[in-house]
Parts: sequence; C-alpha cells; structure tokens
Amino acid sequence: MKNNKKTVIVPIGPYHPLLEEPEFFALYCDGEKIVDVEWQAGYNHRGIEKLSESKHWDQVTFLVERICGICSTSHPFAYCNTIENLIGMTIPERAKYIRSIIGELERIHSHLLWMGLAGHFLGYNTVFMWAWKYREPVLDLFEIISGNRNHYAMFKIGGVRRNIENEDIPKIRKMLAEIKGQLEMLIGAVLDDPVLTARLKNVGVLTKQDIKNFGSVGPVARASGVDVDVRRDEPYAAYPLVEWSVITAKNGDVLDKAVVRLSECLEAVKIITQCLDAIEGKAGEIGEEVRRVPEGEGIGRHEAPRGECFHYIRSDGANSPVRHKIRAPSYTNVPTFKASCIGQTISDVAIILAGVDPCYCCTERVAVYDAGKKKKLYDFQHLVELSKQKTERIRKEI
Amino acid sequence: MKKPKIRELKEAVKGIFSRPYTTKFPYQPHTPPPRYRGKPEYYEEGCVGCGACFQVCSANAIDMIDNTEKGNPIRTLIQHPSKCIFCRECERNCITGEGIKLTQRFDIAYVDEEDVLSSVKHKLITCLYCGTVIGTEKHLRWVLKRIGNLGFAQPVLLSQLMEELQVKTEYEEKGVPPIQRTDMLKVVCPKCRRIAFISDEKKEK
Amino acid sequence: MKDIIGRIQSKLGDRGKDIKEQTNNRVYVSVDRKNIKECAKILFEDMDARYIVASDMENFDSFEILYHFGFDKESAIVSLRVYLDKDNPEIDTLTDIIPGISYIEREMWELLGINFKGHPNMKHFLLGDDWEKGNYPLRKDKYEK
Repeated sequence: MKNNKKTVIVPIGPYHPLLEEPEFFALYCDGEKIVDVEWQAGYNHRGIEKLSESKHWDQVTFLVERICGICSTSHPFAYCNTIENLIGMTIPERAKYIRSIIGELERIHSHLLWMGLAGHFLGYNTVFMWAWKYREPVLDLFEIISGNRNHYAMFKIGGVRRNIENEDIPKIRKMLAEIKGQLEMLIGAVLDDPVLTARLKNVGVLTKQDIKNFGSVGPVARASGVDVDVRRDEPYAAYPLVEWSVITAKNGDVLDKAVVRLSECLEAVKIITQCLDAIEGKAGEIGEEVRRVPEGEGIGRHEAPRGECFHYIRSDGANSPVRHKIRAPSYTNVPTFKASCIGQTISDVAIILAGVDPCYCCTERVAVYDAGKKKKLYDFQHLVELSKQKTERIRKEI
Repeated sequence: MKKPKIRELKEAVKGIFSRPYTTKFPYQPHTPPPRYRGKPEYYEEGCVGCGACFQVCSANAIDMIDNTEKGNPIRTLIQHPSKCIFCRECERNCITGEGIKLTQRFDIAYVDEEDVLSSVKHKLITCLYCGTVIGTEKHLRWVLKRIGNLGFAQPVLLSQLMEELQVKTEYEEKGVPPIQRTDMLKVVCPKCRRIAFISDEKKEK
Repeated sequence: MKDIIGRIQSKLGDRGKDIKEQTNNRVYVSVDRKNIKECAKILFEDMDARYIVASDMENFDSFEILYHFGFDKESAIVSLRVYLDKDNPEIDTLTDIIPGISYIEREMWELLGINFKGHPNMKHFLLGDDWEKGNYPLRKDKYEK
C-alpha cells in the first residue's frame, strides 16, 4: 500500500443547505483507482408506500406524482395502467393519444435536463446553459396545457383529466419544429468534438451480463445493446398506433448513453407529431367513469425517461389499496455503479455516475476514502473539479 | 469546442442578441395562462355547504367546523392555501359546480394567514330533540329544487318548502320529550324519527 | 400466453402450482419456499427472463413474497408467489443467482422483518443505523383489525 500525501476534508452531513438532494456513496480507492463502492440510500425516504394505504384511489394519483419532480408523469401513468390492468378495462382513444403526448413531452424535457448536467460535470458550461434554455419552451407548454410546469395532474383512472384544446395545438407544433433543429445541432456537436469523444469513449462500460445481473432498464440497458423497451414489448396508450423505433447502441460507455438519450428525443418529436395529427379537429371522450375497484391484484408499467417504472397493487374492494409496491427505474440502475466504477480513475467517477442519470441528485453526496486507512479524501465538489481538469488535459493533447 | 462549426456560431450570435428568457416579475405584472391552477376561492352564492370538497381534498387542506350551540348553528368551511397541492379535486367534485373554483392567483406568500384564507359560513338545520346536524339550509333547498315534487315525501324538505313559502304550521316547533308519534313530521334526524315511529311514548296527563 | 404457461409448467414440473393468467398478460405461479432457489434459477438462467423486483405483503395469517420476472418477447410478467409463516418468516436468499436482488432483500428485512438466510451484507439500507430493533414500520399488527 503506497503512502501518498492526501488531503482530509471535514465531511458535510447528508443534509446541508447547499446540497440539492441528500444521498451517500462511499468509494474506496487505492491511489488513483477505485477498488470498492458502497451505496447508502434512504435520506429522502418519505414512506409513500405506507401513505398510499390511507388514501382513496383517486387521491393516490396525486400522491405518486410527487415521488419525483423531473419524471413526475411516469408514476401516475404506471399507476393508472395498474388499476386498469386490475379492472380489465380499456380507455377511450382520445385519452390514449393525450397520455402519449404528455409522456413524450416529459421525455424531451428530462433528457435535456440530463444533457445540461452532463455538460456541467465535464466542464462544458455552454452545453449546460443552452440545453436548459431549449428546455424552457417545453415547460411553458406544460403550463398552457395542464396548468403547472411540474406535477401536471393530467392523469386519472380511466382516462385523462383535461383535454388538449384545438387552439393549443399550433403552439405545440411550433415548439416541436424549433426544438428539432436545436436537438440535431446538439447531437452533431457532441459527436463531432474530438475532446468529448476521447473523454467519454470506453469510460464506464457495462457489459450485457452486468445489465442482466442487476436488472437495469432504460437508456442504460439500451446503450449496452440489450433491446428492452416497455413501449414496444407490451404496447399501451397510443404507442401501437403510431410509427416509431427503439434506439440501441453497442458499446455501453457514457458516449453511447448520451447519443441514445438525444436520439430518443428526436423519436419523441416524431411520436408527438403523429399523435397531434390524429386528434386535431376531432372530438371524443377523454375519460371513463370508474365507480369501484374490485378485489384482485394488478401490475402496470411505463417507460419513464430513465427506464421501466413498475407498480403493483393489491386491493380488497375497499376505498384504499391494501399494498402498493413502487419500483422506480433508478433502483436497478444505480447499483450498476459497482460494475462500472471498479478499475476506473477518480476523475471519471462524476461522469460515470451522471451517465446512469439517477433520479435524485445523489451525486451531490459522494465521499472518497482511502482503501487502506479508511480516511476521507475528497468530497463531490472536488470530484467535479478533477473531472474538469481531465478534460482540459485531453484538450491540450489533441 | 475545438473548432466550432457555423451552426454553433450562429446559435451563439443569436444568443447574444436575444433578450433573456425570464419575465420581469415583480417589476412588471405577470399574467399566467388561462387554465393555470392557482389558489382556490369559495363563492358564497354558489356554495351550498355540503362538505364534498372537505371529503375529497387530497392534502386535507379544507376544514369543516360545525358549531352547534343553541340558537345559532353555523357551519364554516375554511381552505388553507399553505397545505393545498392545487389538484382541482375540490372543484371537480363540487355538487353545484360554482362553489369553489381555482383562480389564477399565484403570489400567496403571507405573514399573517388570515390574509390568504378563503372561507364561507352557512346556517345549519339541527334535530329538534338531539341536536345532531342534518344539513345546511342551502343544501336542503338545493336538493328540494332538484327533485321537484318528490320533496313532499320527506318531512325535513317539506318544512323547508313551507318556510320558503312562509306558511305557518299548527305544530309547535319545540322538542318536548318524550318523543311521540306525531313528532315524526317535525324537523328531526333519522334516529329520532325512527324512535318516534316505533315507540310513541305518549304520557298520560 | 398459453405457450409460456405450457413452457413454465413443463420446466418447473411439480414445483409450480396454480399457474394461471389472472389479468391481462400477468401470470402467477405458486411455489413452495423450499424450492424457491431452483425455480428462480430455472426462470432466470434457463428461460432467460429479466429480473424486475420483489414485493412483500403481510396478510392476516401469513407473509407473502412475490418475485416478478419479465418475459419481454411474450409481453408477459410472471410472478412467483411464496407464503411464509407468520411467527418466523424466513427464506433463502437469491443473491448468488441474481446479484442485483440484494438491495430489495435488505429493504424487505428492515421494513417487514423477513429473514433472508445467507445474505452477504444484511445491514440497514433505508432506515438509520440506530433504528430500534424489532420495530418494523410496514407491519399492520400495531392497529386494531
């Protein structure tokens, strides 16, 4: 064991006014390389599964919406699919198109948010500012359609709560036309830059066996070549009614994950355009009235921006669920850190964790320990600095 | 970028010369879009005091307080915007559709909560004997208007109709125990009406 | 759907009982807790299913665990149902077959009190390290039935 000179920083606890969301990772390193990773979650645990047992069926929709702020439609979508699977009902056709439009708009805004954060961790602050600037019209559009920028309250059991009026559709089309050009520019800029390619290629590689062992889903799995997408495997809402394709890549490193996410945004634009063509100018029911939820159990899922979101409900005919089990996609994606980080250097840790796109800013609470002495070395701000310094070194070489 | 291409340079130039994306609130007023979900408000003409909003509120932000002291029973409904999650369940389940609605007010920061509370008060009808709450006067009259002449079959609704028409009855409107059969037609709660129908304890003078 | 039910029946043989499709595309199989390791191995390795998650519940007279596996090509989710004793709920761990299942087993232990024999790292995951022993938050026996 080498005896290098190391700095010891006084640790700031998981809860601190400067941090966004509390989380904890402990990385044990030997010199520059990582040897072990430990994940401790639960700082944001709010007891939602227990709370859900005391709310009515319609009130649970609002409760699960507040599990996450970024992918806030994914949980009501999966929950409504669950109850509709339990009852065995189908929803009206206009409601299917509206559900898909909201789901795909959310995918665009979530991936653009990720792009900004990844740019920030690498030291490309221009990418950060531009990606979040392109995201603003999407949030304004949500405010026009549903009344709020986050937590849209659009879903109910049996359909949707609000209609998309005909006078809003030209605004949606205008926004889509603008964002298509901007996304294509971002993809071209990412792929053409030699510094980014040298920085991200073969970093944080996940093999197909790793994906199978941890049960990962979403862009993390598709970037490694595992072809799994709930929208195509078990079609629901309007996805079987429109033309679109699943994006996969081969290598499984962080560059592939970035390309998969940006290309999915372009596919989302295609899906929304076709859905708008199908509902413009036509009338239709937007929801069926559901009076009772009978006894039984149901499972429903939805392809959130980060992967497959899974809900299980057991009901005994009363007003509230007996058991509500929720699995967010980050639950299976974040443990892949164990497979992708071991053997990598400390300066790559920030971007590898960001490549998984955890649904909480858990990267704010990372601590790096020396494996031999178990002494604290760096905290997360320093890891971001190390990552930016590595980018500078590569830029000077090229 | 090592060698920025024309498309990135074009975007950069556009970014320098366009105005910032943020609005200038609070220096200029900001109108949200028409279907924005803002603070809920009670409207006294439309509200009948049924309490449906209190039962369906997802965040338990509405309080329903029944004050049944003798002579002046009043029901108060108070909505706390600090607990509200703006889900529109109250507006969707309001039985008249005009009782509580979400406005477009978004600036509801307060120092004193009285400034932002929204509340409404209604007169209650209580049982002559035991004093339990039957319903608010406006709610019963609303039901009577909706069911038309079927309302003649229910003594409480009938009494409301007679009050509206300002017809005086020959019964003494006082609850004098013991409960007897004729009390079935006074303004009593279902439990006391059941006792009146079954027991009929008329005391011999 | 009949195809996948037939395949599971032939592979599991006697160990899988009551295989049926209860709701649309959802198949439930009842398995005895002694056979859970072999059945999970058959589904995960021989039939190449995808591990989704495991969910646990407390019933009036037993505990119940459901292991959910995804068969993506047939659009189905197959769930293995296991019943455990109310007084002493314990079952073998599946961490040597599916490495990613260790986190949900830790969560099931600390929230409901189910013991997993042979788990390599049974520490608190969501609750703090100084949580009171024997206090399982998701249990219902605190309330009057």
